[in-house]
Amino acid sequence: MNRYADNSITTLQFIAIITGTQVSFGFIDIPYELHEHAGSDGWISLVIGWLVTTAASLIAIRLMKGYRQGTLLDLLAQYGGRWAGRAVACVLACYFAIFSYDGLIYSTRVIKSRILQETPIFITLFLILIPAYMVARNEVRNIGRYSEFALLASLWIPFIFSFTLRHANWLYLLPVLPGGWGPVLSTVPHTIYYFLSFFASVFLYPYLQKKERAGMAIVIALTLTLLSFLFISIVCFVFLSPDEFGTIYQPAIYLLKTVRLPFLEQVEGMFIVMYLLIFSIAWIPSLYFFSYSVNWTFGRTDPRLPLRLLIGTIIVSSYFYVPDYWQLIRLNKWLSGFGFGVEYVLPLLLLALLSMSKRYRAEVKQA
Amino acid sequence: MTAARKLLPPLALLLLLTGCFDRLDMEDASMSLVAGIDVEENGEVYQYTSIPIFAKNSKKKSQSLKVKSTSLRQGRGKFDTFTVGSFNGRKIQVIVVSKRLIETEHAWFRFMDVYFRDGRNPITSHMIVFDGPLSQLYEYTPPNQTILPIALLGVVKSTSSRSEAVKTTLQELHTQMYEFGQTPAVTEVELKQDLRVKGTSLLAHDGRYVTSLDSKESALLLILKKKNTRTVGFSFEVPKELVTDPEGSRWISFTAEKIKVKIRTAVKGGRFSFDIRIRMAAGLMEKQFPTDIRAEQKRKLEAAYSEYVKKELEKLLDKLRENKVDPIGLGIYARAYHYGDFQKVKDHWDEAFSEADVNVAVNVKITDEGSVK
Repeated sequence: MNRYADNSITTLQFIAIITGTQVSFGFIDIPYELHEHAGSDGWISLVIGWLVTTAASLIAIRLMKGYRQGTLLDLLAQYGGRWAGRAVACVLACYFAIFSYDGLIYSTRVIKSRILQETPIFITLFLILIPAYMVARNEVRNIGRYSEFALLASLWIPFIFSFTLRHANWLYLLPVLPGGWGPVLSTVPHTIYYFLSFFASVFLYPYLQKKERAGMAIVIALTLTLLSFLFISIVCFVFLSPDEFGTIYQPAIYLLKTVRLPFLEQVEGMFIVMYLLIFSIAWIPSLYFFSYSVNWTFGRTDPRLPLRLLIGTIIVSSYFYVPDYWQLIRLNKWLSGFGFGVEYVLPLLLLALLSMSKRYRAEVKQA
Repeated sequence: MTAARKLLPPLALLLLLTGCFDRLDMEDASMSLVAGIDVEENGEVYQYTSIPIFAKNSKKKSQSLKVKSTSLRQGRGKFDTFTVGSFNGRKIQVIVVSKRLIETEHAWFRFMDVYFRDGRNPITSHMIVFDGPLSQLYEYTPPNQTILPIALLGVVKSTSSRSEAVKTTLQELHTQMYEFGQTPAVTEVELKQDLRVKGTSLLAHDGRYVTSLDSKESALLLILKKKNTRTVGFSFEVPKELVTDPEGSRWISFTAEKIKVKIRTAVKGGRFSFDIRIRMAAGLMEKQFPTDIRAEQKRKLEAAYSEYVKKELEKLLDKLRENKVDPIGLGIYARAYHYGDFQKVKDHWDEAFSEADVNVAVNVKITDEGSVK
């Protein structure tokens, strides 16, 4: 079990991986999504979604406390047999592959429509994937360091958005709850997708240096995510009139288009390029976990082969076919259902089963 | 051996860099800085553009072009056939529409779609309504040899810094066009003697031209919109009883500072009413009659000034209601505080606004009388 101890990550790295994965495209998309379903009250749904996910994550951490030596898959193999573990590993590998594919295509689509309109997508994708591969082929510790750097290097983002506040009209936030609690509560499931990273708490837990801080770390990570989502949502809500909101995709980028610095035009272009750092935390850890799951299934340890296969497939396939925005949105919807299953229901179910079987064995031993 | 292998990936990357398909060298680009749309008497839509010429020996500083097209994107292709480099609109500073266009084509905002849809086009360009045919504007050479976009931006910036006209960017116009509780207002420019800002054009919710405000009315509108970041000046004649010589000049000028506007809304029997309270500090700038600005006299002057601003605001509000336009955005207040009632009249807010009660109260304090008595 030295594999986990040798690759331990610090609490800050743990927080950075979780927050980075969650924030990534949410930051660009969440204002539109919230406004579509709940109008200017969407931020309330966000707070409720945060409460729900924090509670779920704390329960998971509490359950994981009993199993310090391995990831969920190791536990499953230990208690349910090798094949049960393999089945779950296959499902997880698919999930992580689709999750990273979704993130990659989304970012390249943004670059294509905003910056490099004439460059073919497969070239952009190729350029993005080279550094992604170089990070993801390493161990968890390297991914932790990378995420930490990416998160710290992106702390300027709120400041650039403060330039847009001179257009703000705070009256757009009123009235609060014009349609009652109904729309707000029905939006909560949509927000949960953006808080997905539950895998982190069950997969990264064994690597964590100071396990007693895991609960605190996950609360901090989720709160950071909540704060960044709340920030961008409220900035967009007070900037765009409620009547024009539905006409603008990716409001976060639209907002930056109105910023004009004396030394820099088209601030949003710079933003997208720099934001790739945050975007990349969506796919780099998932690429790693993909190769981890595949390797686990076949009992291998070198993460490079599955990674090369996946990356090669993505690049080659993008030459022939790239999903458009609408297909991506449908994929996102589907992923959010699947993700909910994989990241919330499945681990909780498994952990509950494991703890039951452990108790059962203990009883058998006693008897 | 290992070093060579490590170097391979970066080298491969370098090879790819030439594959960037979006490269555009400055000398191959023709940057449009002022885009214009006009409609001729026969109903045909024309597009105008002005491109700066960077060549040293050129006598003209910019090239003006005119093509007939009903779509801006199609027009771009036509412009391309004229220009030396590849024509693009990524640096457009000003978008000019002629008054005739917004009077006759009431859905003219559709022409702006390309600026929002194409992710690389700017949305910070200034919107200007030109009172006259655009050919007149594009043939005009500014006397001080600057190019047209700089001259246009110059007059807009200098007037808006003294709050004499609204300044509307493309993005602000987008908000105003879509917002149900507000109607758009755009800077109006004319060419008389020289290029000058005439005031503000007020448009209806669908973009149709309704009426214009002069520079004094524009200043008052900016106060009501709470967009008054700089100081604004007022000159008026005081009532006769305040001066010792009723036959002489009664002119006085103030600058208004620290303007605080409070707007309260109420609904009585389906009718909206707005209570606008304005407090401001005034600095005396010019006084053409002798008077002692102390105690009693100061209070009287303050009252006269408040009364003057109040009268002017009421005149403006009557004009707006008569023309059924709400450039202030009082509808936004109505929606925020009386959501249910606003939703009922949302689609015809202009009607509801024209029937609304508006009460204005102005309170002025003279804080500075200058350095002479």
